[in-house]
Amino acid sequence: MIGKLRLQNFKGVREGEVELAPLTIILGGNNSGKTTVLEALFLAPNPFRRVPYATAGMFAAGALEALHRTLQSTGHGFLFYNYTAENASIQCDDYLLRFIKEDQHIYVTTNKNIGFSHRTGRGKEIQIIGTLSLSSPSATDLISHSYREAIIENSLLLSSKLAGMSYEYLKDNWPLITNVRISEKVAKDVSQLVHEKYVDMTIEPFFGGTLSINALLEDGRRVRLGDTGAGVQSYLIAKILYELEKPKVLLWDDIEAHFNPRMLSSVAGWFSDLVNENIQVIISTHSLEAARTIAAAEEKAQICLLSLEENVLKVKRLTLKEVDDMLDAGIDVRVAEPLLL
Amino acid sequence: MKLYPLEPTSKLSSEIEKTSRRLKLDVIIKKPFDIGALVVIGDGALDGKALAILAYHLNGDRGVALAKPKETRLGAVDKLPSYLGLKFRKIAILIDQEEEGVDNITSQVEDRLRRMGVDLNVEDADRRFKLYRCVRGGKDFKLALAINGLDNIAAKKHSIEDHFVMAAKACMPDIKISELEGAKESWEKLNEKDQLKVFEDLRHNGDVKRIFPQQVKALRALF
Repeated sequence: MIGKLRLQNFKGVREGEVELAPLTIILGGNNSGKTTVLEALFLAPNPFRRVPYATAGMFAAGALEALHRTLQSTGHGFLFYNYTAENASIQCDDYLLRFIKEDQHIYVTTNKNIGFSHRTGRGKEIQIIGTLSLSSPSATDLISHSYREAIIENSLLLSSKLAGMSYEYLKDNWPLITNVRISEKVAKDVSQLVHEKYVDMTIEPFFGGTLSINALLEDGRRVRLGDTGAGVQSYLIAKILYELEKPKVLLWDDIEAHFNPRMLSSVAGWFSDLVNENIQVIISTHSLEAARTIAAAEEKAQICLLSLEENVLKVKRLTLKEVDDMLDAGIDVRVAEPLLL
Repeated sequence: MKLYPLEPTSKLSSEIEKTSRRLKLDVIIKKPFDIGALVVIGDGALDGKALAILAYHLNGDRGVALAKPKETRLGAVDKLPSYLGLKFRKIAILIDQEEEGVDNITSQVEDRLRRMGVDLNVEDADRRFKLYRCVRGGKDFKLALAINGLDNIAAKKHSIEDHFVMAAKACMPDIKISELEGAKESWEKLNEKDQLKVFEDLRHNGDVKRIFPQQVKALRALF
């Protein structure tokens, strides 16, 4: 389990530290650093490891790069504070991952004796696990390949933005998904929460013969996954990706997006089961209702109120009782955060 | 004075926001700057309207946080430990008198404060207003208590409506308002248009110091 995350010059965070619990619920306003914390934890095991999201090379840093693209701008410059910092680091307990900027390249190093020895353009000999580019989405500009194994326990990031990027991975792993009956299990599972009765999932030709992933209804009809409600889609994809990847750390950004209370309560129960199987769960939300539902389902849950003041991450840990007491007093912790931290 | 509601989705906050917009008061802030004071409303939505109008008239652009606990009246006092967990050094609590004697209410408030470990000294007092200098767990703070109601409203039950009935009498002398049945009922008998006229009069011409004397004192004590 990751006990403490420390960030330096990473994305919008100049510096900050967050203590993590078996189930951590990150609450905070807009631009408070919630997504940055989750993205750091997603990169931490190894930015070059294979992830279930369709990008060139399907690697973790590439998935985040795809999320951050704006107009024609690409590349991994977004990893550095203010785009101008020379180094950025993510530290999980005693493991350190560093990004070092040199000209148009980013050298990625760790404090473990892993990777390849490389002489930088400035003649310095360093041990790297791979290189990224400031301006291009590809991973290996300078070396033939990257080190792709997870160095610490593997994490999986889920979000509604990433869900659509997982279709290709699902297609590639379809025999596994169907033959060990993951698709059937999750389809039936989601049927308990919605009016439709899904019995399984299929991959079949759609109009024009192109393939589509479908939810199979009890009466034999198919609904394309992209045409189901956004909540159903997120739920199905999250559960399938979890079963395929079996991460030790599950990260979910904006958990409340698309979930009604019934589905949220079911996800809360799932998180509690995961925590009891020693899987660490770290989620972010804007919703107090979501935070309370999830925290109430698991006694090892910790609510973490986050705020970013002058780019320094500030954190206050709260129990569900403290959040509830404040609500009774007419205080919404998300709004009172500048007066609390 | 600018208000920063600590529960923006509550009914009270929506009421204040609506009043602020309709009467062009501009008293709500969305981002807190250097807030060290809090107003706690012990009762309903009309208190919020009163507070919005008073905020418009008092304390310039300085900001205060605003909270409405789930429990009403004296229950609001019990939430003090939660408020002291935030960065507040000055707190005003506004509660309705209802049918109780004023002295009875203040002694209950003082009992509750002492039970939660607050050392208190009265710094200023009036019939329905008290200002305490307090210490709890090493933290010193000021607590202002305003009990809504007016003696010149001849009703058994006193509340914020007393003040609005008095304002209505001042701005619409032709309208017959009897508070004997209770200021709340009298106020509710006024149609929406007349109520709005009272709010507008309070905004433009209202002598808030005369109509809301104890609330004005409590809010002024915050700065």
